[in-house]
Amino acid sequence: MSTPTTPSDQSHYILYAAFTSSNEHRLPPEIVCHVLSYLELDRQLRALANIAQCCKSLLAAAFPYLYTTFIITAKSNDTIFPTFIAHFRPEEDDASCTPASEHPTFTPMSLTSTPTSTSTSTAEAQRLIKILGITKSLIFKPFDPQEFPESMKLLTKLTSILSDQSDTLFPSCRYLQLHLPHWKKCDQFPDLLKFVSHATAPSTICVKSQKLDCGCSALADYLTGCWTKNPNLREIIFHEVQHCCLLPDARPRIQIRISFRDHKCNYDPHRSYGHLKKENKRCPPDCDNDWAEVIVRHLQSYPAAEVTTEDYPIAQQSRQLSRPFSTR
Amino acid sequence: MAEKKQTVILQTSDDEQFTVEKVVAERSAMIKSMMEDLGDQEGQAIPLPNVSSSVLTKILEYCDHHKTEPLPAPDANDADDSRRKTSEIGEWDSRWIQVDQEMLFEIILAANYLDIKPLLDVGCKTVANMIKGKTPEEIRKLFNITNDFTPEEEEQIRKENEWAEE
Repeated sequence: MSTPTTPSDQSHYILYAAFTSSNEHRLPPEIVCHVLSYLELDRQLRALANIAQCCKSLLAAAFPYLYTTFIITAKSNDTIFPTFIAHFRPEEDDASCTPASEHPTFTPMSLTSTPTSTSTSTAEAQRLIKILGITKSLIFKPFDPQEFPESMKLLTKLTSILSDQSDTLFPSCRYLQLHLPHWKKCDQFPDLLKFVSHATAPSTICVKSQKLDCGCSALADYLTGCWTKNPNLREIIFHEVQHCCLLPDARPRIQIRISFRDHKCNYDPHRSYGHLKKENKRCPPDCDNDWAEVIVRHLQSYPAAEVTTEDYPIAQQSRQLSRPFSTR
Repeated sequence: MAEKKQTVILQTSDDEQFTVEKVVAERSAMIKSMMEDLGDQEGQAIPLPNVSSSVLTKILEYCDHHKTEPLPAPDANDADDSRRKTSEIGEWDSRWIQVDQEMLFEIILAANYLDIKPLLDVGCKTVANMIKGKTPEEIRKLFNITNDFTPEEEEQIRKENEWAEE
């Protein structure tokens, strides 16, 4: 069954999604999505599910509105925002899940209480597990680098709540998006990787970073691990890569898309890049390479790897964050 | 003596010309932008090749009714625009948009083309409301959608979506 489960699949179908009243009267995909967004706003899950069952193109169109995106952030306080929380039918399962009045599609979940063995935290954990169990997309998104430590605290808290509950936190996760701040001096990176490694089988990993630096080696290790162990992984997307060797060995049959803030390597010869030197991936001090070319050439040395690059306007990012499936 | 109202001429795809109050025409961000580009070239018709006269007549009715309301900010995006925070349609709008489906689609397409965001919202909300409570088969019939699932695929999709059952 070729149910679209990845952005690639969707973009293939969504081009054709349209409502028609006749050949001359068609509502094109962007309008269809507008309509779907109102159904989502209205929490009309049944209607969205029914649309998804109409045809393949509408299945793809409805997909991002129908399935859960789990966003971890620390925007204003300790809350987790699972979009489309109604997916696990809070009105039946947990009366405390009443949607937040300020936004009908977001239910803030407070994690401010210290996890204990009380019934409250157990219920909270059960509730989280239900959400995580059906989460198709996981987005780790500190809103700005200064908030990153707070996001990590939240993550740690979440992990501790769930630690005894399940080995695999995200059994359904197929799309993993990491928004990484500048990693320099950030010692919490391994914690993040430990957490996201619970997403055992994403088919797409999307890395968005302002600047990958000291942590990139660990990230590369993680991605390499994914490539090696995860047969489902089909696509890795790097957004706005600025420099350095975020280039684990590509495995054949993986599609890699890369976008660049600019096409010049910004390698600084006066700084220490120990791990790069060790791995013999260091750029020469006078590096003036076209960064895009370098990466593409590197990846293309793996004959079966499919490599594409694309420019990715910065302005589009913020609007696309809540729609992980529209990154193309 | 009453001040003379400023007007603009709009020319539709079927070559009809409409003389419209500027304040009404400016509900369309696209027309507003074109008027600014044209400047003082009074009497020059603004061509609207994607809008028929019947649809424009209907849309002008909407624009006239809403002409005193503040225009949405040009850079307002979908996420933070307050008008999107409810799926309800105003009383006058819901009466106004009671048209047949072809006209509804034409209005939506024209609203999109003319960049009249509140009208586009009304149209899309109306379509969304038409979908509510309908089975997949009824939706297919409503929008002439061809079922391209195999019976096995259809059954699988149905099972995957069982969680959404009422």
